[in-house]
Amino acid sequence: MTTAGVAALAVPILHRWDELSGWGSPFAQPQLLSLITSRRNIRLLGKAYVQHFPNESNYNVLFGLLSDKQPNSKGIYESDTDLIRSRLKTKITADFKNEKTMVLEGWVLSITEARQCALYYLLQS
Amino acid sequence: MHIDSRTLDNTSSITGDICIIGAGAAGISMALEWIDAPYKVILLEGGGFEVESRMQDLYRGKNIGQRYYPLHSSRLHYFGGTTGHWAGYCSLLDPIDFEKRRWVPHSGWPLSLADLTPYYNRAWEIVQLESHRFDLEYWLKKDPDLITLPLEDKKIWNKILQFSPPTRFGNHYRDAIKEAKNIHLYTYANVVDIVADESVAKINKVVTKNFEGKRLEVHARHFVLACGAIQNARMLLASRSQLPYGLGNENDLVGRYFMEHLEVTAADLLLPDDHSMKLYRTWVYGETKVRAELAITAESQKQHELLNGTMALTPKEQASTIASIDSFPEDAEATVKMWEEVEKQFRRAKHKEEKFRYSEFELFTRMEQSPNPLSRIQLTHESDELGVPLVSLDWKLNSLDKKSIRKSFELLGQEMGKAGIGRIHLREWLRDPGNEEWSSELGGGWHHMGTTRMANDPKEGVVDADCKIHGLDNLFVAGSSCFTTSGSANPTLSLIALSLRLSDHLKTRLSAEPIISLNVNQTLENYA
Repeated sequence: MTTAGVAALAVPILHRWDELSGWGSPFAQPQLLSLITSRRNIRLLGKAYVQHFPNESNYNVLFGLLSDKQPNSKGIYESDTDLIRSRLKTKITADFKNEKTMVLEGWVLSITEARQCALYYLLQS
Repeated sequence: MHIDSRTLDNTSSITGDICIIGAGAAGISMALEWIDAPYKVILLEGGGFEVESRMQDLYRGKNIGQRYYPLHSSRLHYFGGTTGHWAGYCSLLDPIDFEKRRWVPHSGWPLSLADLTPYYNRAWEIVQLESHRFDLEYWLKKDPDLITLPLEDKKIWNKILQFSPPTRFGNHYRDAIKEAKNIHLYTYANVVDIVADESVAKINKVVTKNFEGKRLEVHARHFVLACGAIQNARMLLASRSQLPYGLGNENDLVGRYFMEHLEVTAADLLLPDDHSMKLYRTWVYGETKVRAELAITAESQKQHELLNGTMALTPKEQASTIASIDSFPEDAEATVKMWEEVEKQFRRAKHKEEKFRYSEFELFTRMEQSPNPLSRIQLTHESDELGVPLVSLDWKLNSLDKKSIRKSFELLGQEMGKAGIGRIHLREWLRDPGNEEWSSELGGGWHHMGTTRMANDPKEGVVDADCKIHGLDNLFVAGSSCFTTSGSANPTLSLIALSLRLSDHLKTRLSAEPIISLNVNQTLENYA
């Protein structure tokens, strides 16, 4: 799903992870990064990301970019946490292989994990 | 044989076959090759056998460009030269260092790594290394605990460094030089002038002085400047009694292209798990025999148009809090004592077990500097106590230098991410690609290179591929001042190899030359 496609959705989408406010959501938890730096720093990285890419400053947009699947009728993208984590890990590795990386506040990150930081920031805001 | 020039009669004159000016790593390495050869070798050393402040003052100069170490304490002016405070790092130049690279202006040596390899294979013993082997496979087989990081070797490779004990040439080779019957070592013989014949095509003599006012005239068939890059350039520029711009300087190249290694902490590496890092272990004085540093492959350098550089991993818990440029002593004697203290500290900690498993590292780079004609040594209007003009160093860097550091660490970050083992966090001064400023912690390795660079064309270099000064038949230069590019390798082993090559060349020349009697009845009338 493209950024434009998701942004075009007019209906507010509810997510199972709203009530977890971010950190519990595997989409908003960059796994390796979370083991080597603080949540505060991840939030700051996320803030920096959305400042660079204001068109992705929307958690529906970011969910869409991070998830391979369409939301179901209840607006839920995916529910299997382990599967999500595994798939994101593969996606991150592929980002590095394909040089889909960026330097964010000095961190050399994959685009996917940078978006995860952004999602965490938005969910925390 | 050793002669203290202070004991000679004033206006003495000596004659030899070869005169080597400077008894540091280059000069002593060459002299060792001539022991018992059927030639008389004169080895001139300006200092004595101990570091002396008054002698070091002859090396004073001004830093007028990028912040740099004091010129009079980053070099040592005594028998043994700057090996007196050398850390012992040894590695090889890489093939790409010798190539003409489209993205590196003024790159391209007139020789290749293959030309130097036979001399590396002799140089390693002079600095007491364990082996002539620098290939990773050799060292991995020696120790099963040496494990490489799981990085793709087409982008990042493991460059091996070996560590000399370090060999203090002044102590280690003093007896061998003094006892050699055909090596005539003159201490306290500071060269103050190099005098050519009337057509300035050949050197007739050099003149030396000391604080005791004794002057010595040295005649030889061939002369070799081996005083280090700053002093080599200084002597050529200052020998201007016949040509106002000095010797070998018709194309205004002497002193230019001063290169150092850009040495600075550039990033941090954070791993979620400890890794066995024995292969990359931080340098422990007098004990580390070998370690690997991560380096950007030639393929990646070509793809991204980068200079050659390495990245050393230091566990954060062992990293120094003070950059070397901030802590380097002003006093040369203090630099020697500094290393003696390091050795003592090591001996006290020798039995402490090292765990080799770490998860957080500082990443320190040693990056090649791109050859820059504006980075240069020049004479000033001030003179030292012996009347030789002092120098200024205008160390200049450019955007390719900084871009190479930044991009190299980005590439390393990509490879770390690909391997899934950790993340790179660039230091603040590197984060903005549009920012040309350098970290205040940027230093060098006290590696002085390029001021009499090598090129086939005299419009591009001071010396030819045999280290002979263009336009002068019998004046040669030994050492890293001949380097066309700096590579990322610490220069000592390479400058020794190049000096050994020069030595072989001179032996070939001498054996082919007819013996000519020199006029030894000249006096120092012109220097009264």
